[in-house]
Amino acid sequence: MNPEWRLLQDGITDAHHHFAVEEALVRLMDDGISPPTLRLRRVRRAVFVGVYQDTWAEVDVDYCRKHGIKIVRRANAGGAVYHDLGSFCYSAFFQHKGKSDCGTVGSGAFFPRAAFPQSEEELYHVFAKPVIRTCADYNVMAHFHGRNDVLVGERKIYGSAQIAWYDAFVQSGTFLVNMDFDVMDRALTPPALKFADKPARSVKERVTSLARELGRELDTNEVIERFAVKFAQILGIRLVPGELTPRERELAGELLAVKYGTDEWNFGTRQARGVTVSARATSGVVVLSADVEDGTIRQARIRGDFLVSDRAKVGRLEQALAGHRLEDAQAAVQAAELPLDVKETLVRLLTEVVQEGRTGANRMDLDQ
Amino acid sequence: MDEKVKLEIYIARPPTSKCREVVAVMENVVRLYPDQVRLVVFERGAPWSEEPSRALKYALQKAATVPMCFVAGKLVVGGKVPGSDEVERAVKRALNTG
Repeated sequence: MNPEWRLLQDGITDAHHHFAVEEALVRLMDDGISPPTLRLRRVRRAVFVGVYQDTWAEVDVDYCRKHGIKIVRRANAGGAVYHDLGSFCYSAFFQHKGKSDCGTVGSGAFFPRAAFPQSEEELYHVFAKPVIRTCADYNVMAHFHGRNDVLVGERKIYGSAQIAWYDAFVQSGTFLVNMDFDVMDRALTPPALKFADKPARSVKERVTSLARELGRELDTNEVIERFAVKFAQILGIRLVPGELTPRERELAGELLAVKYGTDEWNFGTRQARGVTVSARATSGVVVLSADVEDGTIRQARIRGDFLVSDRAKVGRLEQALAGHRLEDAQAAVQAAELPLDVKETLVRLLTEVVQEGRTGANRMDLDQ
Repeated sequence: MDEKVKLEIYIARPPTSKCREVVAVMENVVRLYPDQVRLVVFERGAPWSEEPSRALKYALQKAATVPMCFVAGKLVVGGKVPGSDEVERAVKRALNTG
């Protein structure tokens, strides 16, 4: 009997909430809690920005805000894309190592990555097949192209991405069924360089939809149903309708609050890095770990095998360093009740942690 | 400072419990090699204030894997919590060839 997967159509159409659910599922899949799942969803008008893109460069933020188009940084790479309820996305969540047997929905068992002997590159082909066959149902001839796209003629109708997350694996894709290309064209502002090697000169020229190919509107839900049937056939699984579990909902709520619902995430306003360095002082090895944000130490930890009479003195210094820039932090070290050689070493390490590595570039466009 | 071997890790944001294990393993290696190595933690999706190695950038283009651990610009472990011995071997190699 074919293994069961949960078919999840949770009806969440808010873009921020949608991505929070996606990440909750991958985290809980990795933890061995969520079952293998095909999630199908439609999202209200939104722009999904690639994980390492500059939102302000890729999106007409003012236009989007004025027209109620949400902007969200997604969890995977690639270019910015516009979504509305006319199209749909899918995500296939499964474990790709560690567990051996196929299981049933709700049993906490797993669909192993070994069930897919293909390489990750080849998996892009496998997961594109349901799209190509769904198009064929409508007499639209689509073909796989490049690494992870499906085209009709020279226009893209489907794009996909993958995430390998410890023991979990996610394959996601977007299938353009009905699409408001005019709004899409206004919302996205990709650099001209993006089209330098392509016949198209804009996103609108580069993509198509099933409706555009047929010259008529389609019932998106009907296309979704056809896609799901073909997905199950091609993967050799049985889809069993299910719902988000309370734990999945709870974690999604947390991720929405601390990540996907924040400007810090969606607009990339926080440039922080965690750095750990060490040095040998006369008293022993000193290890400094610090989270540095725009030249300010947000959090610091001091460890090592040097001897201090009272560990609380180190704790007090760690607290004193938080919120300070280099000079003030070094002054705090000098004032601490620690051996002189440890303080001298910490002053040197602070310089290294705060000053090194400052560069201008902080994003890149990983267009898949 | 430039001669230090650079360790880079790429983890989730916010970090998971496994990500914290990755950080702990790598920080311990830093402790074992005072004045010789430097660890930089990159969180997925967070803007960089320090340029990643070419290898890390390349890995991001080819595979979206969490976590990834690099030593001297070479991928040592991807998709799992690294063993301390795996990282140490790579550090020793980098120190010997550097």
